[in-house]
Amino acid sequence: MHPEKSVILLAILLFVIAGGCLDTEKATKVNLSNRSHDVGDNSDSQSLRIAVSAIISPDETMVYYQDMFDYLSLKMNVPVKLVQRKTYQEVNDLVRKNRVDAAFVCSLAYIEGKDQFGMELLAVPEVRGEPRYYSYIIVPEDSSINSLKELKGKTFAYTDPLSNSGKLSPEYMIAQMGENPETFFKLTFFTYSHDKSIQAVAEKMVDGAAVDSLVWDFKNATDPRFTSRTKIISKSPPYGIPPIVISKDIDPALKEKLRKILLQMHEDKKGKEILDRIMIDRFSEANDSLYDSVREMKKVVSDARKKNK
Amino acid sequence: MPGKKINKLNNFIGGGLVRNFVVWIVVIIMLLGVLTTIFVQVSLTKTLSEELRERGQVISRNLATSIVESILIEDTVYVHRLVENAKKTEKDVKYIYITDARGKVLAHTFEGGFPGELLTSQIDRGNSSHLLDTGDGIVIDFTAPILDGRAGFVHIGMDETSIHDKINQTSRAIITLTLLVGALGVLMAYIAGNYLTRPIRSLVKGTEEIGRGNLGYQIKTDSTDEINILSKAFNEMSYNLNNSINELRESEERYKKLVDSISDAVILIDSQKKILSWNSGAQKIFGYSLEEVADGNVNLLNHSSASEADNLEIQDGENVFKRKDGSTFPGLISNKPLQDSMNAGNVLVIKDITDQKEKANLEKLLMQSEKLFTLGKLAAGVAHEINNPLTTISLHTQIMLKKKWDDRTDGRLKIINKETNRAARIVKRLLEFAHQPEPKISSVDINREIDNVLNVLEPQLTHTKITVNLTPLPLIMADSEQIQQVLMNMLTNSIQSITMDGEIIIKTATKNDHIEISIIDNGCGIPQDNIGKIFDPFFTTKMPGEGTGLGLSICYGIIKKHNGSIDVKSEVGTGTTFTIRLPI
Repeated sequence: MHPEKSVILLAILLFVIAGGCLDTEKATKVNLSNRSHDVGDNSDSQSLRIAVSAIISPDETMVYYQDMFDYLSLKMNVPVKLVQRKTYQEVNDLVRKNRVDAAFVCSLAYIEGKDQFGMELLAVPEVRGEPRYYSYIIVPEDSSINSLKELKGKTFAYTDPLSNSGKLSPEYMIAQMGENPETFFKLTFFTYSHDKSIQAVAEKMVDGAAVDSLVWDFKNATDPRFTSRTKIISKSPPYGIPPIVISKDIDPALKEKLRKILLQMHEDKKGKEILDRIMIDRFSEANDSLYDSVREMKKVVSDARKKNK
Repeated sequence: MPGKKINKLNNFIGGGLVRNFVVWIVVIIMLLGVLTTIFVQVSLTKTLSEELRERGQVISRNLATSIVESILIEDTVYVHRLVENAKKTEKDVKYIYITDARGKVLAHTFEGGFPGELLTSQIDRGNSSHLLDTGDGIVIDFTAPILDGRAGFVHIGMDETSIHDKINQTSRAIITLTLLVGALGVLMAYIAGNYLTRPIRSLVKGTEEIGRGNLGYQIKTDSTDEINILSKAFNEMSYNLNNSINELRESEERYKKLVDSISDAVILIDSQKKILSWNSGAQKIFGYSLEEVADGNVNLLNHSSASEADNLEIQDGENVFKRKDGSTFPGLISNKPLQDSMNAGNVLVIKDITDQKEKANLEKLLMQSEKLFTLGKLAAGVAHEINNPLTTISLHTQIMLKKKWDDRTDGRLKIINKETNRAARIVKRLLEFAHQPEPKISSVDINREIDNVLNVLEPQLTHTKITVNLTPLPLIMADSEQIQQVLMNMLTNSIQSITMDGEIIIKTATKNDHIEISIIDNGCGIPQDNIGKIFDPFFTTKMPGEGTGLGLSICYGIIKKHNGSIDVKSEVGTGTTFTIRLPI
């Protein structure tokens, strides 16, 4: 065999092998220089906008409320947009400014809203037969602490400044104990959602936290990764459950339609399924007096704070 | 003169072998370089591309995770900051943009507006990444869902340019390295080639020396490899070759001497009759040197015209040859093929037989003379003894005839008388033959003698045409009577040979130192067997009683006495030519 031939053969062979290694994904042609399309404002006049306070963290909220919002959208025959904000106050501001048509808010936030700009109740969820919930004081599962009292001088996680179960309720308990809520804990901070507070305790970032019983129970039932690593050392008296509110300027027809859908949701098969999944029995008519206990606590804590100043 | 240039180059880099060596090394290095470059390009592209994809995926997923809350709470500013930050801190990020679940752009890193085309290219969401050709390089577009797509999507464009830069850089490095290695390879191949071909070159020098005739040249070798074996074999070959050639030379020398010692011409010719070689004998015989006749046709040496002999096979036997000076000589040629096959050439051996011929002629002449002398004595004796009784018989017959006899007796007496006279004539001629008188020399004009003879013979020439073609001849010293006798005899012979309508041509001519008389007839001719005998006494073809057979013999004697010669050429049925030569 001629050496020239073998060299050529070898070269061809190697080229073929090399060629086989090459990926030949085809690139889509795109012209990036034409930048006419701009980001518009995200206001959406077509949609019904419903805000959800970050009782649980925004992503969890998204998952939690997805089906219900889809259901509402279907029933209302308009797209329903879930609007979230970091703090309860921001949601209250949205309601006040009519930026949203309705909102799921915390009990305390409702009281504040009603006091400040006449936030109106639309409906309340009923859990285990009543529109009430509790505040749980939780500590890590292996913690030696067994009462709120023992948490003095420890670190503690509040949920939101406008949270009832996550802030007002423990402050009230501390005040009842004759302690100053401002100085009772060595360090406090806001997690801005109850699931984050549970996580913070489970991960032992804090020594304790006050959380919404609805959130803890739901999490414990559906995803006990973090709740299983916490224990409840104190359960508050029942409070009026966080309601669905509307701005007082909302179109009455819309308000009525929305209320009707909510109140009849448990009668609908699909609606019932959704409600079961998020562990709500049904939506019912709301009564402002449901939140009187919260108003009372607010006054006590406010007084205690003034006194300590 | 490209050949010259290459030769020069060969000399410079040490010959074709080294050049081949260098060329092949360079070819192999370059080929390996190219292959390495391709291979590295391919594998580097793959690796870097995979790395870029992984990074893109990681960045997009991380961003999707970290950005979810900000999106959900519509913290656009924070979303922007996160996006810009990600673009700033991560390398190769060409762009980032966030869309909500419905594909609306929430934030992006493009300056001066978002390119709408990018959105349309995103229709296929099946792949988490795909390639985009932006016209400014290839971009890998990654899409990571935020909250399973419920909250939207993070899109990151990873620029492949830096990959290509890196690959190009590496390729350049490899190519540079290849060129460097190639250059180094040339140098090393040259050195190695030179080292390896050194023994070969000494072999080449050895063959050149032998080619130049320096037989027995020995190569010095100190290596122990195959070249050494070759060198030893070469040296042995050289030694043996030298011996063989010397033996051959000695042998050739011997044979040359042998051939040169032969006095005959030994000529080697090829199949085209060209002279290849000859011995010194040939040189002596023909007068040419070998250089003069080499490659010349052998017919050059032949007396007969060349064109005639060109196609003829050279026949063994007698022939006439020509020397350089133009003179001719008789020779005996023998032609033997060099080998059995036809085309190998022939060996001609030519023997100069001039001396032999002369000797034979002399012997013949001597014999003739002796014969004549003996015959003359015998004839004289017989004639003398017969003459006396013949005289007596003739006398008495004459006496008896004077008397009256009856017719019968008278007739017989006349016959006796007639026959006696005839016998007396024969005796007289015998005596003439035996006692040929010395010529009485005087100035003779041969032409006039011919005229005289013709006048005498005229009565017999009734049936014969005589053509006389005489040229003026110088007077020669001869016996006019004897010359007349010769001419008479000759012409009578010719006339007698002619039967009917014959012609006789008589010519005279002057040649260098002699005159020639030719008598040409168209008679019956003389058979070849008889030509040698016609001058013998008593040889005759005539019926007994018609001739004595002494005429030509007498003529021969007369001409001999005049120091001349008689030649005869004859062919049966065509005629005979007698040529008499007499010295001036």
